[in-house]
Amino acid sequence: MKILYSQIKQLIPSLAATPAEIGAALTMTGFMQESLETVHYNDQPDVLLGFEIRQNRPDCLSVIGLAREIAAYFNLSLNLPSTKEWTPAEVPVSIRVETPAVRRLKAIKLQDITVQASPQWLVDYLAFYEINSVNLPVDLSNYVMLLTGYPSHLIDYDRLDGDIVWSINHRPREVTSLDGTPLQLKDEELIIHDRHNVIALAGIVGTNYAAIFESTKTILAEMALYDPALIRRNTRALHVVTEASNRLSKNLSPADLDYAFNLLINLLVDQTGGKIASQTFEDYKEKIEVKNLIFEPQLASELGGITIEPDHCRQLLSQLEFKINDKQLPWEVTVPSWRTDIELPEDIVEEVLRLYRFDRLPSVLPALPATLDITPLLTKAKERWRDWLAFQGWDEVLSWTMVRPDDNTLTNYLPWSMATVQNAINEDYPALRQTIIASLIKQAREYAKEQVPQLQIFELGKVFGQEENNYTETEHLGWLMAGGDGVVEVLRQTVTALLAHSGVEKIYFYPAKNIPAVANPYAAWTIMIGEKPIGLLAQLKEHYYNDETMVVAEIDVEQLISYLSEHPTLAPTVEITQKLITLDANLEAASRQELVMKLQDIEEKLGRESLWSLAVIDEFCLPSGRYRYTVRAVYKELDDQSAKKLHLQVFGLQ
Amino acid sequence: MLGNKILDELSSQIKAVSTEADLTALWHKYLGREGIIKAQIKALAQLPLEEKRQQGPLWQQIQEQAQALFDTRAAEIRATNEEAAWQAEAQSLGLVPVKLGHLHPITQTIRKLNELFIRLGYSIMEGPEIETDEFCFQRLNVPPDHPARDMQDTFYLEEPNVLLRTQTSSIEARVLANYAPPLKVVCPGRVYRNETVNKSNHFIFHHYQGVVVMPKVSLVDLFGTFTALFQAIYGPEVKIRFRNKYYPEVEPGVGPDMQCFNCHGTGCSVCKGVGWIEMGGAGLIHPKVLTMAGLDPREWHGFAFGLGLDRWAMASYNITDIRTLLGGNLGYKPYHHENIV
Repeated sequence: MKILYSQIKQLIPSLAATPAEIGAALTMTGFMQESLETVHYNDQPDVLLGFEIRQNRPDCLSVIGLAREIAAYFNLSLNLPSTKEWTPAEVPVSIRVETPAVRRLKAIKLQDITVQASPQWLVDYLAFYEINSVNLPVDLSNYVMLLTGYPSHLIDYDRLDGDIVWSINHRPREVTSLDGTPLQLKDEELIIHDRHNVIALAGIVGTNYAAIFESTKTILAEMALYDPALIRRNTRALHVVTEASNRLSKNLSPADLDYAFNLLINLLVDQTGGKIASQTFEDYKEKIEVKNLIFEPQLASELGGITIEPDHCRQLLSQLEFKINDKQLPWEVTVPSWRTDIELPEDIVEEVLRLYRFDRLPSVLPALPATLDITPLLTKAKERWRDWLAFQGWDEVLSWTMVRPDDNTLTNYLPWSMATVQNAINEDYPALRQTIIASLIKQAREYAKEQVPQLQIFELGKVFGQEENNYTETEHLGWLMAGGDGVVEVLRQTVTALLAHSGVEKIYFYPAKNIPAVANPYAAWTIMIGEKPIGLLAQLKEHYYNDETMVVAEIDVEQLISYLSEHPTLAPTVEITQKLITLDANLEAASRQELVMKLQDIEEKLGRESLWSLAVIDEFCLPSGRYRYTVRAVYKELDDQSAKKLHLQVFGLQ
Repeated sequence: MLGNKILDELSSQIKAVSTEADLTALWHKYLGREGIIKAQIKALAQLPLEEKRQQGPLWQQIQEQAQALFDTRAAEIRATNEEAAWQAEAQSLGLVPVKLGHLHPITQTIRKLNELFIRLGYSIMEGPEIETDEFCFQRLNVPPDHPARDMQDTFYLEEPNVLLRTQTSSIEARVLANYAPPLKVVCPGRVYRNETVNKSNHFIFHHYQGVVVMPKVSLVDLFGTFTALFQAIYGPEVKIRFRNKYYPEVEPGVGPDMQCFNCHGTGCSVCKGVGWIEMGGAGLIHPKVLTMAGLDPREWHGFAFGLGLDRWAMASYNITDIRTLLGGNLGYKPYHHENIV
């Protein structure tokens, strides 16, 4: 919201503060200064100040509202422009209000209006707010809106056919706004209309029907407040944002509409030669009562963390025009009518403290009592994994979590469907990634363009999908590595080592059944912990820039943590009291998967007490197509004889 | 004398020997059962007693001196052989650059803050990125159609209830709903706003939220905590100011600003001429937020603060384009060791 320094001085004649001082004062008290511009107005040098207005202070979307804040800060009085009373005519106007969305409405008919161009001061003034001059009556309506914050609407009364009605539209129809934009009405729009035509989208914009032109002689001037939520919904649905809708979609005070309406009618009568030609129509069914709050002044000190004496508290609130009944504690505080944001004692505390100024409060690091550490295991584990991977030479990347649908289709290996956003600005990227692999491949392509050598990247982040119509997300860890021969094995070892370090004892890599399209179907494995599939290791069909092989892996770390909480973790620390005994045996199997199952069985039979390690040291393809594997078992806590006996028995060699 | 002559011969022959096998052969030649010296000692038995008494100790001494020559030479040969073996076994240093791993600037920024707050006894919490309207807005005192929703352009998966979180305050709402106070929690995380991507704006960025709920806390406590946070990032000389600002989830609301690092308060293009840079939002938790979490605002007070991390990370790592953080052109220079010229 902008405000001219000369206008502030008119409203607060005793103000001595410079524009810069005003800017600093409002910035510290809740209205960030956005601009300070030297301008020329009314043949005089002037300063135009711009401020960011808090969403809960629609009263300050006005010159008077901001001037009121300045007067409060500098403890000076505000002189509002005066208005004269008028005598209404006997004739009523035919208005019907058919919706409770109208909170308050005032309207009156003026006749013998002379519609002419606005004087230069008004044209220049509106230009500061980027409002084009239309004609004098319309410009005065806008002027009053800028001054008071209350939008109004002028209607060419002679063009109307029948009663003027405020109601909710329930049918599709097209209207053309004042600036010529066609608007498609669908449903639930608050409209003003006569027997046949829509006069305005109430609170947003007028239509070209019954607009004010030079030929206009009789007008209906109306000023209204509506259900702000409805105006907001209408504005969003129609994609029309105006100065009026910006104000009326917020909670302006109905109580202060009178002053703005009177000012408008005074100006129209004075400046356009119009005469009052009707009674004042008013619809104000639910009158807003004066708000009184019970307030304990000590609360300002408690929440501020400093001592603010009650007298000081009273002084600050008085500057803001709060009325205080302080005959006894707690006080009864009457909230100014325009302050619709004040609802609780804490709101009053904010008023006291902001005028006291936050920058006068000390900054002391509090010695707060200890609390229970509720940091989840996963959060702690992720930090360890990051460190471990960085020590191993892996670089961390973070990626877009929104991808092209194709990226998901090509990389997904999980039994879930895609989740997409409905309103992405970038329509190419509406999908939430289902795998980290999708992101890592995109990253690798970018690195390939730059010919970055030794690519070895990982990412810890969320993946998303839909299961049984429910949106779901889980945390995954993904790797991508480029290299020559053996790169797949290097990544397998990395994944294994990370899982083992996390405490997983049984880690297997089985040929994958759900192979994503990006993977080489002959080099894709499901990563298993125990009997639980936890991720994927796969060589990619695509190569890195220098024809290096790319390999990816991904694990669900939430499942990993859950597995670790349910299973005894690997406890590798033992006391060695006897020499270890190494014995070999041959096993036949049709595949590695079968071998793993046999080894699991053997492990089971050997038990944790006697087995030090079990490893496959050779693989030989038999003429039958089956494989012979040489397995090396190392035994602990057994003498030679006992170890041999156990070995022969378990491997079926007796 | 014959003995000295034998020793002289031995001495010259032994120097020529370079292997343990040759040395053993030479030993047998001189000191073996049939060796030259042993033969002389055996021959003493044929001499008269007086001469035997005279010659015996001399040959004994010669035998000992000869043995000493062998021992010395054996040690020399062994040492030479070991040296050769070590040389043969020794491996050389490679020339392949060492591959060092790195953590992402955002991770490192989060860690810097986490280190501070862990020292202060805070827990670290995370939460879902797909959120409900209830936890992203309503429980933070932003009901449907509230004008404050204009402040955040939201991605919807299913309008109006399922969305991508626009702020890590949603984690605050979940923590308040699920854990009993007293609480001290920080919540780092990724957030989404439906904005066009360019050099300085992204639709994905990172927030850091802090929440404290205690029987008694004040703005002074909040300011002290926020100041410590800024000092952890920018050092003890950093200048901060706190001003009033509106956020629906807090009351009173606070806007913390840092004095512009570029112009030190005089005004420049970085700070848009005001000398200060907005660095997040904070305030005392709104009584309605506490009430919605089932807490009695007369018994419990709290403060909350939140700030964006991306710009801090960019400033710390001299990154000029925000897209670099998530884009695939974030590089980590390799480590140059002494073998690389």
